[in-house]
Amino acid sequence: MFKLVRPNTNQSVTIYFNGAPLTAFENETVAAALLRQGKKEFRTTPVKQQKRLPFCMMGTCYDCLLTIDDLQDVQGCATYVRDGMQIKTQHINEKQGSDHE
Amino acid sequence: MSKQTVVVIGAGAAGMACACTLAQHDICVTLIDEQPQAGGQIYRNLTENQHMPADFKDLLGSDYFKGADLIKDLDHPQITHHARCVIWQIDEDGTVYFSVDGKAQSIKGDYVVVATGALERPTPVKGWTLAGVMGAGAAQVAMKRDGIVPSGDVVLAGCGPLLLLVAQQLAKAGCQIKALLDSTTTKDHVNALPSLLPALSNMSLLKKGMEIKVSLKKLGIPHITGVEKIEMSGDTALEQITYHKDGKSHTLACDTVLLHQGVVPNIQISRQLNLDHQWDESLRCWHPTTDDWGQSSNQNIFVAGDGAGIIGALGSQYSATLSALKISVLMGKLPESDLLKQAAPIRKKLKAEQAVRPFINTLFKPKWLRPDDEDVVVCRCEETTVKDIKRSADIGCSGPNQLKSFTRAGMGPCQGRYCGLSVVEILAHAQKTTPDKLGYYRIRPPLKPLRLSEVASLNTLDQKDA
Amino acid sequence: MTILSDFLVVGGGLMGSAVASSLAMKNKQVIMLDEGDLAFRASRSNFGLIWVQGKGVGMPDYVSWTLQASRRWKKDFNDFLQEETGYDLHLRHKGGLVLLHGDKEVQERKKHLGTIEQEGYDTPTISFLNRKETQALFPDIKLGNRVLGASYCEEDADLNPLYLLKALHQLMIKYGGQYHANQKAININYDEKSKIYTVKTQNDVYQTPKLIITAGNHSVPLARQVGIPLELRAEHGQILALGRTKQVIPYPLSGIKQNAEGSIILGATKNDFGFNDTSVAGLSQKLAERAIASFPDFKSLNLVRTWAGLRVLTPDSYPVYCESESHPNSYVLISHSAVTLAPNHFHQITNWILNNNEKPRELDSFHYNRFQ
Repeated sequence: MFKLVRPNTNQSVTIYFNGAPLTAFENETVAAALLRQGKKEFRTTPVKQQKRLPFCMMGTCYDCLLTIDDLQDVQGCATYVRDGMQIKTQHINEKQGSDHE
Repeated sequence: MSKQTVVVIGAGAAGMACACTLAQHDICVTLIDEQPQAGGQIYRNLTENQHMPADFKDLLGSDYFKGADLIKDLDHPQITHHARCVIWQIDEDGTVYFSVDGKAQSIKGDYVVVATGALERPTPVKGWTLAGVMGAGAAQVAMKRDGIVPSGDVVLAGCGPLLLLVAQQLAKAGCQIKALLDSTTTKDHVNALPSLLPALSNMSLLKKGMEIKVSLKKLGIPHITGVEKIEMSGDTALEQITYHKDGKSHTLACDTVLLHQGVVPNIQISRQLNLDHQWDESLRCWHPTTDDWGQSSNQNIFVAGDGAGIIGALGSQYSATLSALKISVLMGKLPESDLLKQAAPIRKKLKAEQAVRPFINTLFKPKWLRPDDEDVVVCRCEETTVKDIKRSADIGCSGPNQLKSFTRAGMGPCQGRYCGLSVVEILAHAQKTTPDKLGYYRIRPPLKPLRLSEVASLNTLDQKDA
Repeated sequence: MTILSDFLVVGGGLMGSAVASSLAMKNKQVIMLDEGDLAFRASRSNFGLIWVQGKGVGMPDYVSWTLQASRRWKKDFNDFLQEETGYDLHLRHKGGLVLLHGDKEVQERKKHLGTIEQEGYDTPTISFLNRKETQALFPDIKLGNRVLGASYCEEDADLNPLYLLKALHQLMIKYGGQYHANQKAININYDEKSKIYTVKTQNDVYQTPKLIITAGNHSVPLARQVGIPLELRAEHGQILALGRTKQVIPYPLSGIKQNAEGSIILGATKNDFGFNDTSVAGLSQKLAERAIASFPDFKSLNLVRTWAGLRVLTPDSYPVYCESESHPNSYVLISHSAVTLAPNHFHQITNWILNNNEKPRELDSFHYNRFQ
C-alpha cells in the first residue's frame, strides 16, 4: 500500500477498478492511483497465475499490465487516469484463455 | 529532401545535454522520448515538483532540482521535442520508427544519439516476483512522479548508493523502515580502498555518500551489513523477508520490499542495432563499445550517458555534450580545430566523475546474481525458472538465444530486460564458461510492444523495403 | 585436438537433429556439430506448420512424401517424442486453412490446387469453404470483410517448432549422441585410402567414416568439398509475434496461428536480401495490415516481437537428399520443410543412410542430379 507525501491539488476524477468507483487525481498514473488505494493485484501471470504489482514504475518491466477500457496489456505505470476510465485486473491464463474480473 | 537532422533518443540527463549542445551549434535536433515531460528518470516530473511545498522539495534534494536548467534550455527553435512516444525500431542507417497517439512514424537522422540511460539490475532471489516487491529505484520514481511512498512496513535490500539514498528519502518521508539489509561486507570496504585515492578527485560525491550514511544512523534505520542471502515469502503476496547473516537467519514481517543492486546500461537499442558490445567483468554487465566521443561501431550511431556505461547523471551530461561536439564537427558546424579546445573543460569534469566509479563499483559489488534455488523465477514475463535454464544447459544449449527458444526466457513483453543478465550468469556457470563468451540475447524489434494497428499505420510509401 | 566419431552430422537444426537423434537411438556413435548462438538458424525462425495443402506442384513424389510425414506425425511420431523426452510439442492435427481475400485470391488458389490434382498421385483432399463456413470454424473472432472463404485440408497441422528442436536435441543426448556447439565446419578432406573424412571446424578437427551435411544455407561450401555442386537460395522470411490472448484461432492458417501459450504469430514474407536476417519495418507493416484484414480484432493486440530467418531453398524448392558419387559415405540433406518432414528424416532417411537397401521410393526424385 502507498500513501501521498505531498498534497495533490489536481482536480479529482472518478475511475473504475473492476467496476467499483475510485477517486484519482488528474495527471496521476493509473499505477499510482491504484497503489494509493491499496490494491493488491494488477494482474495474474499467464503461466503460474501469480498475482503481480508494479515492479519498475518506469515502463520497462511490464508487470503492471491491466485491461483499460477493454484494451488488454496496458501499462499502468505509463498510463494517466482519465475521468470514467474502466480499469480491470487482467487474467490471461495460457491454459484456459482469458477472462476479466 | 529533409534538412540535416540529428535524432536524440531519450530526454534524460544525457539526451537533454546532447540536444542543447547540438542546438547551440545550429543543428536541427529531433528529441524523442516516452514521458510527457523531459527529465528522464533522474529528473522525472521536475517541472511540476518545482511548485511543491518546501518539505517535499527537501526530500527530493538539491541535486534533483539541478536538472531544471537543462529542461529550460530545451526550449530552443532548433529542438523538436516529441513526447509520449514509443520507439520501436531503429535501422542501421539511422531511421527511427516510433509511435505517437496510436500512429507510427519514421524519421531518418544523419546521426542518432542513443541516450536511454540505465535500468535497475535484476535481483533474482526467491520471492522477487511476489506482489509487494519492487525496485528501490522504482519507489523513488513513484515518489518523484506521483508523490507516493510505501505506507506499511518497508525493508530495503541489496547494495549501492541509490539503495542508501532511497532509504534516507523514505525515512525522511515518514515511512516505517524495518531494516536496510545491505549485502556490502567489510571485505568490500577493504577491496575498495586502493581505488579510494583516485576517487578523492571527486570529493563532493564522496562527501555526499558519507552524509547519507550519517543521516541513516540519525534517522534510526536498522542498517544491517554483510547480509549473505535474502528470500521473500507470502501466500499470494509478500508477507515476510528472511535474511541470512553470519550463519543465522532472521525473519521480518513486512508489506513492501525494495530491491536494488545498482543500475546497468539499458542496451536494448544498441543490441537491436547489432552494435559491438563489451562485457564489464567488475560490473557484470554489457555496454556498447564506444570511442572517447561516444561513437559506436556504427559511425551513424552515438551512445551517450549511462547507456554506454554507468557514470551517473552529471557524467551522463558531460559524455553527451562531448558526443554533441563531435557530431557538430562531423556536420560541419564546428571547426575541427576548435573541437579539442571546447571539449577540454568538459572532458576534465567527466574524468572526475569517472574517477570515482572504480571505488563505487568495488564497494557496492552486486552479490545476488545467480540463485542456487532451482525454483526461483528468472524471467518474470514467461516465468522461466533456474531449473528450466539448467535443464537446457544440460543439453548443450549454445547460448542465450538457443536457450530463449528452448525455455521462452526473454520472449515476453519486457524483451529480456529483467532476465538477460541472470540467464547468462546461470548458463555460464552451468557450462563452466563466461558471460563474455556466451553473448547476449539478440534484441529484435519492436523495442517495446505496440498495437498491431499502430504497426499497420506506418506509411511505407517513402520507405525502403530493406 | 582430433575428435573421432562413427557418424558426424554437420548442422544442429531440425534436419540434423532428426537424423542424429535417430542414429543415437540405434546405438550409433554420433556427434552433431553446430555453429554458435547467433548463426542463421532457419530452425529457430520457423512457423511450425505441418503443411500439406498446395505443396508439390510439378513434383508428385513430394506430395506423397509430405503426406506420409503428416500422417506419421498423427499416427505415432508426436506421441513417441513426448514419451521419450517428456516435452509436449503442442501438436494440433485437425486441419489447416488458407484464408482467401477477394475474388482474385480465390481464383488463383483454385487454379494452383488444380495443377496438383491433375498429376493424379495420392493427393490430399482439399475443400473450399465459403465465408460462412470459414467463420463457423472461428466462432470467437470475426473475419474481416475481405475474406471470401478459405481452402481447407484435414491433413494440415501445426506444433511448436522450438519445442520440436529441443525435443530432438534432448533425444539425441539421451541416447548418447554428442552435441558440439561453436564448431562451424570450414574445411572437409577425404582420404581415399582410409576412407576417412577430416572436418576442420572453427575450433577443432573431427574425423569420421560417415559424414552427413545438414548445415542449411552453409551446406553450399561444404557440399562442394564432397563433389556436390549444391546451389541454394537464402530467402528472407519475417514473422511477427503478438502478445498472449485468449484462444481464438483453433486451426493453423497459412500465415496466422495461435500458439498453445496464447501468443499469435503472423507470417510469412518472401524476400531476397542476401545473408541478412534483420527485421524490416516495412514488412512488419504489410504483415500487420494483412492480419487485421483477416481478423479486425487483431488491431488492438500488442506486437511483442518480430524476427526473420533465411529459408533454405534449392532451385526448385524441393528437398535434396543424396549421397555423393565421388565421395562415398558422405550425404547432403537439405529441406526447408524440416518440421513437416521430421518423421521421414528420423525414419526413412536415417534408415537409408544406414542401409542403402532401404531407399525410399521417392528418393530418386530428390537427388541433386535433377538440376544438372
